[in-house]
Amino acid sequence: MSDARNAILQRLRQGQAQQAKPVEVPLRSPSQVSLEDFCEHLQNAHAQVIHCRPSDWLSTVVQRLASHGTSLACGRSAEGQQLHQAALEQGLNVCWYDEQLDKQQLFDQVDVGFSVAQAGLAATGSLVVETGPDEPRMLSLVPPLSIVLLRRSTLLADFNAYVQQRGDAAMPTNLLLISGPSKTADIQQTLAYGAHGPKELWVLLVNDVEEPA
Amino acid sequence: MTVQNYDPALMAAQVDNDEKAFADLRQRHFKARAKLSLENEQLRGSFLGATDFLQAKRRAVFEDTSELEHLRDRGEAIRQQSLAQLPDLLETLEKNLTANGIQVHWAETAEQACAHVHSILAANNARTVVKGKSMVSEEIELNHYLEKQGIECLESDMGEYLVQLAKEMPSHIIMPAIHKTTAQIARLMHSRAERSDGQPVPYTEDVDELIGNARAILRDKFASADAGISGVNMAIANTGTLCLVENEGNGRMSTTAPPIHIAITGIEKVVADLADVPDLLSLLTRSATGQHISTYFNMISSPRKTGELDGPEQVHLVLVDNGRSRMFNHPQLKPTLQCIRCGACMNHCPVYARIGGHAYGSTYPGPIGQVVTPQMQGLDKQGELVSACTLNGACGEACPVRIPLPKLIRELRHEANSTAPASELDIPGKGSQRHLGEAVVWKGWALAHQYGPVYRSMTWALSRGRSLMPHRLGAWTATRTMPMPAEKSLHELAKAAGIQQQPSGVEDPS
Amino acid sequence: MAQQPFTRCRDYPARPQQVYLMGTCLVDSFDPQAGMDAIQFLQHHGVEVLFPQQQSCCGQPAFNSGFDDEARQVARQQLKAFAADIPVVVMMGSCAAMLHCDYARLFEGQPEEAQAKALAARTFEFTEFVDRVLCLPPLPASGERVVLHTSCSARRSMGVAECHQRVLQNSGVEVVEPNRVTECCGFGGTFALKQGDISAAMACDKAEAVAACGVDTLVSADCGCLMNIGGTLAKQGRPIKTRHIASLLRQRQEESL
Ligand code: SF4
Repeated sequence: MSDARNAILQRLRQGQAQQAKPVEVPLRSPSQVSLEDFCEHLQNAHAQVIHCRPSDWLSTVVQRLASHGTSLACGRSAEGQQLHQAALEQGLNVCWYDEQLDKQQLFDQVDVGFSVAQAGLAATGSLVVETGPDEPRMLSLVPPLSIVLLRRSTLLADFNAYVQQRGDAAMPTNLLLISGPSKTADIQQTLAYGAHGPKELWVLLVNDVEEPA
Repeated sequence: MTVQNYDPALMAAQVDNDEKAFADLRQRHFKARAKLSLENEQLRGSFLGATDFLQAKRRAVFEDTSELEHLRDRGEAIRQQSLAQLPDLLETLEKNLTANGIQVHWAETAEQACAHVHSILAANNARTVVKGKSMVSEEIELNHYLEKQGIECLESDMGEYLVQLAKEMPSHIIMPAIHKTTAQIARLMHSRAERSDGQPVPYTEDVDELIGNARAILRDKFASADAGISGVNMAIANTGTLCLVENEGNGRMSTTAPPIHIAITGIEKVVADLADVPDLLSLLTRSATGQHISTYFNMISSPRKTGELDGPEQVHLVLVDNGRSRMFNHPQLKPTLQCIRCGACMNHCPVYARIGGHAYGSTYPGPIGQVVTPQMQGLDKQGELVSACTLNGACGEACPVRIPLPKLIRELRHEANSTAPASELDIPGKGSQRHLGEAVVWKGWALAHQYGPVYRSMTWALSRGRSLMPHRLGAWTATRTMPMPAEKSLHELAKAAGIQQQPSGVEDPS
Repeated sequence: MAQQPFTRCRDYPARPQQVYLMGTCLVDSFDPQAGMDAIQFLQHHGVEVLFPQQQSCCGQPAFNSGFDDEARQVARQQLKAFAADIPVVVMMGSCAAMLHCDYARLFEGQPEEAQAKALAARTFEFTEFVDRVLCLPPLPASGERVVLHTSCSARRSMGVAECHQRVLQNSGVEVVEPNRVTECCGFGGTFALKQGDISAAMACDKAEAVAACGVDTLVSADCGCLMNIGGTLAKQGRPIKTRHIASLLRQRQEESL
């Protein structure tokens, strides 16, 4: 209905003619990158932060999952492949998130989804996840337990810092900020977790910054 | 959990009664709705409790007031900058969305917007729809429209889902079921919610269990729905991106799981750049629920690409005008369009806290509703709303983008009583609230206060006639005593005390 | 940015020799003694007070009801009455806000626009003037306790809630604030008549909060609020008296002479 389009734009142009120029207000100087803030925000949001190192993150996850006895799905990111391999070796119930896995199965049978974050935002305790072929959208959404890996070196001060870092890079299909497990307070302001998506969020914080000597 | 006096038939009757009471409320005039709500002790408790809670949360998350004021300056500036370029930004947005594979549709009216959504669904043979939260879809009464076309439209935001089950409307733009108690919701879920196997859910008043029951029902729907519909919190022109803010994950579900995603937004929601987004997001979540950030912030820039495993194959955006371009043309009322729909104004409004959302009888309640609704639906139909305000300013003080809400409400009162000829771009129903009685009263008042001698003889008469004052004055004296004029006015006292009127050398203007 | 009514920073003059007093129409008829108390209080501190007999009402009732033409007719009279370039001290926060914040809009595009803006710039609410311009030394504590209600226009449009508090504390009385202190009492001018039920509900809640303070005097610098809350308290048979802040300040001044 291009009639509607033209009529709307025409009315807007008419209104635009009579306006004053608005002011500009600069950004405030960015805050410090605080690992403590990052962890505190996530924990307050009911997420678990699991501190690990590049050398032990795989064993840490696999060990924790072994005691869960649940089924895990991985995407084909480098870390996803490593985890798939390690889980197989430990005899865990693990599958690929690929064409073989249909939507209903994902909803009904997968308990744990694994994702990798591109960055973390300290000021809000947020994980930045860019979706794509190796990073499916639903892995961090549908399974009741969502595990997201974040490298310490990618932690930024806040969302503004991330936007600056991105510059003009093309946007992925979904750019997600995840700051806790799914929740709602729609029943008399009482918080409940796992409204629709994950009931639990584990953040694997891989310390790739200061390797112990 | 065990429940005393468990009686499913009684529960179902109570739920039906709530529905009837709501339907009855809808039929009435604003004053009657307000009165009914004021008399409902439980409702007043719910709203006062909820607004106190939300105010406290907001205060706590903005502990640094200088940061808050700076952010509000930013928020206002970003919104004003965006509006200043609105037609250009909309064209850029359309161009970039289209390049990203998202189809754009324009609607001048609510009816057109609904028709767009319907034709997309019909073209794809979609019969079942899950909806994320969208106030614009409430505004255009989309569910109603689609149901008439035989399309099932299920609300998936927990609050919206409950309100839909109850056959009511949201009473708050962020917390739609804020008016319901846990006990009411427990009865509602047990009486009306249906699992995919057709069974009712067991009765429980435990919030985790209630949410768990709804979760199970809704997850089945996400997996099977033919299409998802969502709102948009911000649209980024230069990247062709739709942004959604939410805590529950139902927004992501609705926009990810079904094969078609239709987003609906008002034309004012566009910003230029990704750089405009972070501070608006921060203002939005902190003002709305006192959260530093919502659980999810989802920026959608394209349908599923080749090689990707999930996400909708089609994404559509319906851009809705429905009176917005008219607001854009009003020099005083244009800031209405700065709104980011955070709900802080209603959380801080003492009138909203007492009468609740349903009393307003409009999609948008509270201060922003009082400003937006008459401009959309006409002052003739919704003009009464603008009188339900003391102009106390609490809303304007809370608004994250500094919309001068009390000023706008006052402007609307002016429009409602205007005698200037109406033009095509005017608010519908301009001048419709002007009643001869009130107009005459103000004319008389102006005469009495315009001329010093007339005014002074009036106050003189008032003080001398104080014993003759009526002891009852309509609404005022129902709960208050009648104020008594003093024996002598200040004018008289000052004169008697020899108080000078003007600096020496300045003439008395009389 | 466009307007920042809530975080106010405004320049204050040095103590002037003369000021106008705008009594306001409510004080004029319902609490004229407060006006005389203000005059005597200010004169005592060496400021000569002028009271133009031509003044009437700031025009706010009509303006807030949307009757701009009628408001303007009345407001023009005030532009004339307060024409000389000296500060105008206003007895009520809401009328001060009308002059200080709303005259610019009311006279936008009118021949008197510049005059109205100039008047706005030299308009001060009573406690604002006492606190920011007079800057008085504190008086000894009197042991008296009062409940303070700050009107919404004083708090939000004029930004003088702190001035209310400080002038009272400075005069040696102890200030008690009710629960939900920043909430409107439900007066709102014609709102009290047009939406009587809502207004009454708000007034009752405010009266309840005031009564809960257990103090027998309620003070404010807005007569509308005092009539509303005080009238509700009286109807409920609660023995709490209402006073304008100016009267209390004058009393304290006399006590400490
Ligand atoms: S008017 Fe302001 S406070 Fe109210 S919903 Fe809109 S942005 Fe939020």
